[in-house]
Amino acid sequence: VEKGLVDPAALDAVVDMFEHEIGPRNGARMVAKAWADPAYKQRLLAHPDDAIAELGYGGHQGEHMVVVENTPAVHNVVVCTLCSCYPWPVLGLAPGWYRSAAYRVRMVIDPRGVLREFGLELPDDVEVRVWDSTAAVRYLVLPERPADTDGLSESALAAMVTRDAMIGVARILPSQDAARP
Amino acid sequence: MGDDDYQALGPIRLEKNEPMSRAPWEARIVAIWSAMHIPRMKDHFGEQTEESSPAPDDPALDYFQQRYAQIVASLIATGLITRAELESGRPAEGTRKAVPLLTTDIVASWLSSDDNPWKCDVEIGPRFQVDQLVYASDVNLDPQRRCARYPRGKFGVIDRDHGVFVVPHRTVQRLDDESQHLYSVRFSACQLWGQAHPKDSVVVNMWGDELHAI
Repeated sequence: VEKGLVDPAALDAVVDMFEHEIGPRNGARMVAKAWADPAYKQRLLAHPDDAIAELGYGGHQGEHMVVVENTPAVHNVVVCTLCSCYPWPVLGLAPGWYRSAAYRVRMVIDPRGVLREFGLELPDDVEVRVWDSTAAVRYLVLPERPADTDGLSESALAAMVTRDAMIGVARILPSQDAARP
Repeated sequence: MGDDDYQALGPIRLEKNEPMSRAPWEARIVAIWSAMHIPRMKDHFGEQTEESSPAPDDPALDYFQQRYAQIVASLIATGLITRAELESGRPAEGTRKAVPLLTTDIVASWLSSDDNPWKCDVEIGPRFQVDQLVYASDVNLDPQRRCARYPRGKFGVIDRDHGVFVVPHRTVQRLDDESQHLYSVRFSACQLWGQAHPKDSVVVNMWGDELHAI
């Protein structure tokens, strides 16, 4: 700033973007729409960049996305062993633990042990797929829709979706607080 | 890394409701680091990556401190500031104030852009098909290519073909003639690590020239 290299207002604009425009609520809205709209879910899994752009998201650190779906038989979880690649437009900035060496190394070697530390115990018959991100390809997990959520609005569904579930280190539990129509 | 080494990394440190930053300077570090990735800014800073400006090898530094060190190293390397200016916090005597490299209109156009800097429209046929068995080369490659090392010498299966991308190069410049298909390759955990849960797998992004058909 003292050298005149940057206009402080330009930096403020970037900070404002991180604090107010991007973050996990974008991803949660996308997940809720996929739960509520089977055609959108199909587009999101087949052509994620286009489906994400339909909701007005995309851009830096999320140029090429892949969305992987959790099912009762398959649990997906995301890591970046190289550094901390993460889909900023839909999840915001990566949490500290995602950037830590412990998570980055241990998740690929012992995913079930790491998930246990997050409080997620997976049955033996569930397949675990670990997706190792790079700058070119970033991943987002489409969590399983909790039972007993029929009839909830997209905004009520979005309120149940957590950042950790979209990384794959948590499952979404039915919320007693979720607003019903 | 052996089993004892990886156990020494310890538990994952979890924090409930972790904020984006704990202090204004941390938010600004993120903003500057992001701004250095804006295509127009790369003309001044070069391609900023973990590999081209490695973080200091000090585990005591957190993410923001590491990024700060990388930004400073880049500013000095490109001659935009001197170490003396950095230490004094003031421009050197007699220097003119620069015309800002980063302005709000640059940020605005960046935020509204959906350009993918590495996706490439060049027509190149794929070398592999989805579900094809492949072998990952066991050779040392340019670290700038952003490839994980642990699948080297292992057998995997093509999970998906992402199309043609520009291969990051050791010169840290975009070279369109080095474009090739980028694949996601699934390796079983047992193939990677020996003893592992038989149902588990790891999917790794790899360039076509790192793979061999079986």
